[in-house]
Amino acid sequence: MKPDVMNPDLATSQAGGLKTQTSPSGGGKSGKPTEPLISIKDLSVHFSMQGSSIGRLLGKTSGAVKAVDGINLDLAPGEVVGLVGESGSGKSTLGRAVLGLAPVTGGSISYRGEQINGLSEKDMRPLRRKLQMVFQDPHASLNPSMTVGDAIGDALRIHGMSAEERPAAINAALERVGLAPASRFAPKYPSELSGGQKQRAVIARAICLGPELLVADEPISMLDMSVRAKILGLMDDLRRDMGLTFIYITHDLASARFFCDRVAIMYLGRIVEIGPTEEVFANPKHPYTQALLAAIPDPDPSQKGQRNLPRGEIPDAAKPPAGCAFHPRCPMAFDRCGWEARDLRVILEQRWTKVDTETYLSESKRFGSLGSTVTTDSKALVKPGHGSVDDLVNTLAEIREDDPEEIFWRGVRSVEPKPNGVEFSFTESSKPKLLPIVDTGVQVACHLYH
Amino acid sequence: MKHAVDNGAGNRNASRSNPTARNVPAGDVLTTKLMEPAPPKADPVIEISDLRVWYAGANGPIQAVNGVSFSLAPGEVLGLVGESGCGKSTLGRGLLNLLPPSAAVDGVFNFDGTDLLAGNRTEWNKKRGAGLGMIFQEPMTRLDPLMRISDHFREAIRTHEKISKKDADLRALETLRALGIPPSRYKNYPHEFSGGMRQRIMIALALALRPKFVVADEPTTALDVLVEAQIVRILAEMKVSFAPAMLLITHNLGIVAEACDRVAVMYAGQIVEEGPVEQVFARPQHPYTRELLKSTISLTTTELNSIPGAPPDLGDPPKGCYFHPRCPDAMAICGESSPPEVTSPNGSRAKCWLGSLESVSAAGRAPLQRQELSAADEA
Repeated sequence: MKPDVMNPDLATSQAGGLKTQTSPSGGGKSGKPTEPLISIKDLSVHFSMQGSSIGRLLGKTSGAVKAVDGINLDLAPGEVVGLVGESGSGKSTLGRAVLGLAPVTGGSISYRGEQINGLSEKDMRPLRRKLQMVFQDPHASLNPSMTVGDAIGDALRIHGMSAEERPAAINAALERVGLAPASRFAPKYPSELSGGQKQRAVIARAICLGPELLVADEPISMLDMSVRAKILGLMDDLRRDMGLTFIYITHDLASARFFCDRVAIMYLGRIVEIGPTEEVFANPKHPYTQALLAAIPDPDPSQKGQRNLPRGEIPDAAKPPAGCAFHPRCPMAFDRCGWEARDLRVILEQRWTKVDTETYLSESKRFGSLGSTVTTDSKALVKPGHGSVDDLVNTLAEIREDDPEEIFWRGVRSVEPKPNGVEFSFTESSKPKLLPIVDTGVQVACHLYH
Repeated sequence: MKHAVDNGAGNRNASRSNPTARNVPAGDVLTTKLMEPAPPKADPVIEISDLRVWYAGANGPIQAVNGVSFSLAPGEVLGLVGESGCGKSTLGRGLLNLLPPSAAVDGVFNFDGTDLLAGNRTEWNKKRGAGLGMIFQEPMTRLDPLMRISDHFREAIRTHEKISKKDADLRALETLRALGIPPSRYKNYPHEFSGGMRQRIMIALALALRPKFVVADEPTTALDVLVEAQIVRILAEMKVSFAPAMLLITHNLGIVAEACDRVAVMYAGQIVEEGPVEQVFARPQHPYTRELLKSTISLTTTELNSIPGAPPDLGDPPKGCYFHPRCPDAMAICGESSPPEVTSPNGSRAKCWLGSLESVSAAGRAPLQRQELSAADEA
């Protein structure tokens, strides 16, 4: 018998022991209640960057990293929503912001209709027993000098449980997560536990107060392959037995597909696609979602084949690309997607890994500093290096001729010589909005669809 | 102690008598099927026989690698999979003599016709770099932040070869370009590159010396999904452009399917199954391989499976087959004596009593009586 499924009623009995007002209802998607458990409206988390000290004296703004930018998301009670994306996509920041662990700079987060962002620590604390978190690294999220029992007991003590009641609640929580017999595990220090056991202890600490929402930030990605299925199975049991609502943050689409009711694909602080899991995986709409799905290595060797991988990596959030943030990597981009002068550098560098050394040397000296070219009002001036402006125009024409299919050129309206450089003018663009696609329940932020 | 080892061609199939198998009723070991003649191929770059690695532990020696044998042809990529603590990384580092001083290595490691483990082993250290390359796991911490990429390459190349800076640069640029790093970035510092580019640089650093054999230890673990896919593609392309024989250590079975020719499944310091990837993944012979494949979460997963328990303490491994306490198919004999290695006609080999059932008595085939494992005993 698997201890995971041993005592489905333990959790509720524990919540009763804590005298919490609301006991989680049977959860699930049937009979959708009108009021969402968590409602996120237009949420942004921007981190301002420290400019130079002189710049600050002169009142120059040094910009901000838009870690989370304009997110709308509602979670129904008992629902599991996956936030999926690469590192730097803002998925962890969004999860932390919900628990008040990241500074919200705009928009609101409501819990059962009550706004919770901006609450003082004192007002937030009672809510923390309802909103809990499981961190990625189980080795770092347990205090090495506290036994597992103490770590759980500490959480109970902070939330006002008396010393007499605590041992029973600790044991119930430990046995609920499969650390049975509890008498064996409660006196252990984290260093005496394996990775999977530590993550179970972390989950026990999170559920001991009878929470309604668990934010699980990559809970299985640091674990050994054979343990991942066990921890994911445990979370699936908890969700079923305790009616927990989950925000499941991951970069692993396979586990998201198994565990989530809905998935939100994030890229550079924004949701690019959100919808029911089955629909998103069966018919991915956004080119980024399609790329993510295609990138998963398939354990079936007979499926070996060439895949169309997007080039490059997730860009710097401090300087996000114009238009759609994914356009420099998107295989399906077209003129309106936000092409700009910075993209030229990527195209050139990619070309220079393929041509021979002489071509590289003769071409690269034609260009001035490529890093400094900036697009303003859809126009940009590329300065020549050695040689005249005409030489640069000719070189650019040769490069374009070599690979006319390169999608960068789709966004270039004209290339004209000017006295001090070559002027590029690009097609006007806008940031794609997250809009629903008819009859699918899926929302996509991509110019291809709107 | 050393065992008689067959060093002939195709010795990855060498059938050795296992010391723990000696208490098996006479004849059992001999009934091990003889290997089929291996298909003719190029001379192997490396041949490893009966490699053993011990660590000094508080309660006596810990046998981290226990009698591993395999060989690799030029350009051949062998994936090494298994749970943490099964000796994968120890094996990988052991081949490059990068283990801590408390480790002892024994066995036969033929590289380029010399046994690097024979004699005083100075030859072994000399081979590292130019002959034996290594790609590490964390590209973020392996490059010196105060050195330009160009200096990394000049130092690495000129330590091993007496060539001018200019020639070293040419070699470096050629390698970098093959891995998709533009020459315009050659003079940059490591922090100016993204994680994926740094891993490409690490791979280029290993390849710039044109090693014949490379150990890649979890080269994509710290990377994002899309970047991981790019690196896996590069590893697959390396087979064509640079053709080093490679030992690719990973826990991602998808990557093995994608980039490897053969796969070795390691459990508790032993290779329990090895063979062509298609063969092993489609028809795993060892229950551990089968359970490992089943427990992988993939896009088609509808039901979670896992292997109960955890790998054994290598300081005190169980009697018989090391996997028997966790094995769903365990028989009485599995808890008694170590299974022989059986090679099937298609070239894959497995260490499991199920492969030589005809030599097991009826009593030995009875299902093993044992205690239930609880989820708490996991890794």
